Amino acid sequence: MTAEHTSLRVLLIDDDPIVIRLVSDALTLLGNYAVTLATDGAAGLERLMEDPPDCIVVDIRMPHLNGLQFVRALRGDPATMDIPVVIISALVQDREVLAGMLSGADAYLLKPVKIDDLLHAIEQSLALSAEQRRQRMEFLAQQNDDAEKR
Amino acid sequence: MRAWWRAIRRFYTTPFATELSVWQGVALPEIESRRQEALARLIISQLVAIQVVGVVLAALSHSPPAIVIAQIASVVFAAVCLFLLFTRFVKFGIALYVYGIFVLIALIGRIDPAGISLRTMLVNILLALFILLSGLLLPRWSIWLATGLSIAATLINLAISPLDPALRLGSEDPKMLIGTFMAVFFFCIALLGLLLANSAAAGARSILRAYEQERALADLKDQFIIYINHELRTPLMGLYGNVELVRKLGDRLNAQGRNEMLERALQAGNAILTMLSTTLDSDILKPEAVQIRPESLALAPLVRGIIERFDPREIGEPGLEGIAFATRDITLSIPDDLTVYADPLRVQQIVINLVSNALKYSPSGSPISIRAERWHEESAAATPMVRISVQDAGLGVPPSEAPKLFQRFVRLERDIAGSVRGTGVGLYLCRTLVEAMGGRIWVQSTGKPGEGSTFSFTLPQTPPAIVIAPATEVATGTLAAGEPARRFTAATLDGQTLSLEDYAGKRVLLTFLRAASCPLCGVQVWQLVQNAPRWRQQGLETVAVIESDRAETQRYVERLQPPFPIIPDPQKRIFRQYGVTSSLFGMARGLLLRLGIYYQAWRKRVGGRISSGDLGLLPADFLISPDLVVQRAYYGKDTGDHLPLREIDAFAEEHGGE
Repeated sequence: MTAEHTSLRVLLIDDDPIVIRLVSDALTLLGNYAVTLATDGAAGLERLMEDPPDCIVVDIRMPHLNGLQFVRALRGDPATMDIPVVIISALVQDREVLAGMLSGADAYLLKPVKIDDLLHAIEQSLALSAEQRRQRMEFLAQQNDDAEKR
Repeated sequence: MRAWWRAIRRFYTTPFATELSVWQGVALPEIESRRQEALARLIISQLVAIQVVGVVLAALSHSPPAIVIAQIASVVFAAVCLFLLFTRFVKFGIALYVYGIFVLIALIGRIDPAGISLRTMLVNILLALFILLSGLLLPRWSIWLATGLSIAATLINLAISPLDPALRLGSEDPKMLIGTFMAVFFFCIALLGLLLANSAAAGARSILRAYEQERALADLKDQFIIYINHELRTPLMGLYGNVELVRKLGDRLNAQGRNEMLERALQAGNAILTMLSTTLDSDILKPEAVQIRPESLALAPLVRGIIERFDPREIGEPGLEGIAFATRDITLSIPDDLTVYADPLRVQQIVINLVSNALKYSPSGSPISIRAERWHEESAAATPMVRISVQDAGLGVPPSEAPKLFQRFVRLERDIAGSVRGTGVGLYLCRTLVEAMGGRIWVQSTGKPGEGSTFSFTLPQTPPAIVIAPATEVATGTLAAGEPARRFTAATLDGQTLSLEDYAGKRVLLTFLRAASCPLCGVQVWQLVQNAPRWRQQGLETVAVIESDRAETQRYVERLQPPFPIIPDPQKRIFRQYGVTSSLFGMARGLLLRLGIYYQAWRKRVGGRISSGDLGLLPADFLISPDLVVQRAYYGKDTGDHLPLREIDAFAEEHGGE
């Protein structure tokens, strides 16, 4: 919405035509982001290598490479590990949300996602420093280990 | 004290407990086994108590010491068995107790100083109790083992022990008589025990089955709810988000942009509606209650209308090649004149399901083809059908998984983990609906990705219009030897008429009548009802009804008092004429009848001339000219294609008096 966002690029990865158009319109028109698109995880990785974005919005259930695999691949590569990631998904069960967060996403939003919530989550994830992200990941992994032990 | 009381209560009530709370978390077969063990403990402990009382009574009544010692030994033995029942050797304990008693009985005449006396015989008869016990507490076959052992023990006892003189009947030795009586008695008890054990086992089995079915269904329903939750969220986001976007952007949006967004919201709404009509239909949970309202339907416009409802980007409408979505070729090849007898809404549901599956499970851009053609099932008696098939070039279905694809809440292993959304009820719904309309549904696929799959279903064809030809228009048939039965007029003797009936006897009869120049045609009884006065004017004099539904014919005769005599179901008489009276051997009868009729028809043909006049084969009243054989047209299942009673009544009011 503000001028500082004009240069920020978001990579949007989703296989649903309606969602892709909706989110790209919302990000372009309301958030002033430049949006690039991909319809599955593998295509998303290609786009990522060609032109690393400032933030990624990704769905989970997609052909070829699903969202979780995509985020894990992203976080596993030192070149891309600090790119903010927001997951939007229709998978609502606790263990699915947990798997999403453990994969390394900065936010997990449930479909149907409100536009304001999405813009807010993107801003928040952009504001996160690499150190904060690492700390949070470690904290989550620790919590999960503790829970499993119990 | 209270704890003791509770333990005793539990001991006596556990075997009969029905509340699941007692058996929480235990599998049903395990419950049955534990119930049996608890019952064994209860019964055997009671028997041991009775034995202890027996020892006391024997001691008090100054019985011979040998008897008292034997009784004490048996109590000790029983106590050991009872102890085993509280360890993990339960079955062994039961078997030891039940079968150990036979050794005692075999020797009882020896132990008792009086030999085989009234007292020993009474004890001997108690073996019946152990036969019943073995059926109750051990596997069922053990009843026969217990019976064999009982008879053997009795016979051994009789053989090795002296007989109490008091039992002697005059000078005769009654051992033979006693042995025979006891053997028959034990055998009867064994039968009784088997009946009891069988009925108990059948009850337990049916409960087990119902319980497992219920649990499987509950699991499936849980799965279904999870799926539906997923499936609805994405299109809901499309609907909600686009409307939200329009509101937020307000005046910043031009008219075209606004329209585009609203259009997308509508598409998302359509996707939700499609999902509701294809999967969340209430028929899913109650397939037996499916309502079908069949009518004659032209297929081509119906299917075309359905295709237009799909997302244009997915079905390849030009000019809409949006982001990364390739267009698709959808080919329709459905003859314009093809009609089916089915419920239009249901056919729509089926086609929507199959087409949306084809779209979901094949790569974007790959072609889809929908075709329909006339179709005859393999059995000759089947109703003429139409086959409609939807072919894609997608992933295909592994042949091993094809049969379960049409079951409720089933999805392929591949798809559960995959990205394609689905609820596992669409194809089940299709199967339910297709079968309710008298067709079947199946899939053909090699299971190799790219070769795709073809889903086909059948529906009954609309039967050809039936025209009644008055007698004057019907030629007298003259058949040369070897000439096939002639069609007298295309309308009256259409080959389809014969294949409409599934009952072999009627088919043969009709074939025969055709060969013998009888003018005949197939109409439904209600058509007869509607047209009777007109046909009467055209010279129709007699109607023979080949129809097993006598009630319907009767109803017609009673209410309408038709203007001509009705001969109900003449085939019975024909059967009798060939010496076939039993309906028990239906197959043999059909064969006999066929052979007889074909022989007679052949003989007549060789003679060169057949006409209804010289048919001595059939009862004269059946062949009053002009004849009319009325056959109810048959539409797959009995869908109630009779004219409803109130319409017959209305008709009767109008014409009955004439």
